Amino acid sequence: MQIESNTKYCRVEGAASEEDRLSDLPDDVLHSIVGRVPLKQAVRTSALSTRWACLWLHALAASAVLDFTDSEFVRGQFLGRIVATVNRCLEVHGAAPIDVFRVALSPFDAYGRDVVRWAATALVRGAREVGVDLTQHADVRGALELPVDLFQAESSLAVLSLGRCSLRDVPPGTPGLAGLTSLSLNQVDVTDDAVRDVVSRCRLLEFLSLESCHLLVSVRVAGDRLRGLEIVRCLAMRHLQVAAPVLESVAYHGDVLLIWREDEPSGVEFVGPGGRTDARPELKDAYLTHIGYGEYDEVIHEFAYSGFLDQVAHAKILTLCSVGMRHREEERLFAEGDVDAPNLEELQLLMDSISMGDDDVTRFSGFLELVVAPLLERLFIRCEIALDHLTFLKVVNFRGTRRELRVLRFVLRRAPVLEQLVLVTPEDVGTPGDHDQQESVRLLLKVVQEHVSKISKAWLWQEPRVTLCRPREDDGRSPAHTKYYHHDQA
Amino acid sequence: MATREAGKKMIMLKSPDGMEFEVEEAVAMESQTIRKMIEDDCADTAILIPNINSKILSRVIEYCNKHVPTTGATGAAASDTVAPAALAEDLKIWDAEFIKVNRATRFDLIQAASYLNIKGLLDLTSQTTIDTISDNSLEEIRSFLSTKNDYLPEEEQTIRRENQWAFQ
Repeated sequence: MQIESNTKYCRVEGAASEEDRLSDLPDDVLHSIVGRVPLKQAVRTSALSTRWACLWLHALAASAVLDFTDSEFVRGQFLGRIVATVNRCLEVHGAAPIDVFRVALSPFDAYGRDVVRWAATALVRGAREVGVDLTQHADVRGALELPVDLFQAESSLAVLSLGRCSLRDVPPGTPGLAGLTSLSLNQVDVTDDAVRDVVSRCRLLEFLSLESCHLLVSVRVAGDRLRGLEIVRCLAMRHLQVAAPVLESVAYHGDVLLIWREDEPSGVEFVGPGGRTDARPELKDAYLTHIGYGEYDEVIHEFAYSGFLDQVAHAKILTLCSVGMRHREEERLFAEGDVDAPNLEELQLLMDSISMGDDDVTRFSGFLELVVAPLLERLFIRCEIALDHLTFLKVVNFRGTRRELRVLRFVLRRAPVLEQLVLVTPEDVGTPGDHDQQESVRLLLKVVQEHVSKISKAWLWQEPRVTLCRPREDDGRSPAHTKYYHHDQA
Repeated sequence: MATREAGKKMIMLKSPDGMEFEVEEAVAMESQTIRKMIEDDCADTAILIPNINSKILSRVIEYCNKHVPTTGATGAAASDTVAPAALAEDLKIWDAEFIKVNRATRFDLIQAASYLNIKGLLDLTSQTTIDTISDNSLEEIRSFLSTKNDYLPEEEQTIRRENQWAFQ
């Protein structure tokens, strides 16, 4: 890099060696270089010269880690292209061992058999980790049914991650799953019994993640080696019992709808050996949030949150959210009780609002008073705003200043399903007939479109439709209030 | 020629331009290629390192000397008193200094590191190129690498169309 900053040096050198030294290097050296460039930039090198046409693919194939989950790679091209690239890459890879194979493809469409074949190939070549993510778009076929013979043979498989794949045909004791240390299921149709059986049959299992598995109602997992448990958006879940003596880490995100049951101390239980509730695992960290879910309702949520929090409050590190703080506050009206956090060293609070209102400030200070944490060393506060349902955004008097673009970026990044973005310029921009000004409107639209396109590739499910117009051309939706009292002062 | 000097086993490395370098076996074995030769007993006489001139070879040896694990080789080594983190920091600074070379030398070093299979040196020498490819436009990369675009216009169009997502 220092060469570019020294132009004099660069020129002299350029004259001395016109030859392309890098392209002359042997293939394997170039593979090791291109293989360490981010995928998008690596693919771009194909246009450098004919020498580089296939280097990126061969570089990818030369590695034992075959990862096709780069978000731009997945979102930016047709399914057929992705499938062709994966096929070609596996072909070039030949019989060499595969350590990690990850792919994201959805809707999987007519390519279900390809996906199964890839996973089978990876397993035969000794893959330690296999990840198949079909969750991005729903498929009319529902989930991809994984055949039992995929996991019939013993394998080196330790880390398995499945998104919208069905394990219905794969019984829990299948030999290929016996060596699992980590299992992640996202939108998988597993039942309570299947989860219980898989965990008990995978004796080496250390990490289990269940995300959006909507068949789960009453989950019981027991694992002697289980160290990490993650439960995200399993919205039908009412009861959770975890018997894991060495459990270190728990993450729960979703609605705290866990029912308070007369016969049990809580909807959530972490128990020690033999189900002893007095021998709870010593947690290192717990994450318990439900931003976006569960407004307080005393009938449904009676003590559910507090019950859960009490189970994990002895951890050293906690992340909680403002919704939880609200629950705790409401529950305090019915029952006295501090949150006993004797080991807590780090606390993070996620505040579900763009700016903290007076209520939040009161709640926040009230909550901190409730938490008895004599060892607390670090406190983090994070303000969250999620615009999960935002489909329409209109900005009026938009000139495209840097500050306006920043506001736009802030909103766009938090609005994954935004469909339409309307930007209305001030009247004085781009008067018809004035060529220069029309040109400037065109230019502004281009800048904004590039900007939006970049953000949507990285953050959004789809690219919103962008329109830029003058006030009199704006025939889209307007807010209910269009009389602006602050203007009247002038 | 494997000789002994002050209790350490020495190895002779020869460059194609006739220079000879006597280095400790442990230092030479930083190169997986040489390690294999020694382990396969192919290193009785001096080892000829083809394609790597004396200037580059001496720099490679300099790198290996610095990066050879200190424990054992020099008896009560510095690592007994210096914390590993400080040692790593010191190495990082040394590496940054070492890699301040012109482009031609850097490509020579990449080639040498690759042939001799010295992972640390290959990582160090190729990082600039990796950064260049990662952070610059195609035109800038071409000019940095002196790469001639030998595509016919329609060929380049096809290449770009095939992986359109990467060019947007």
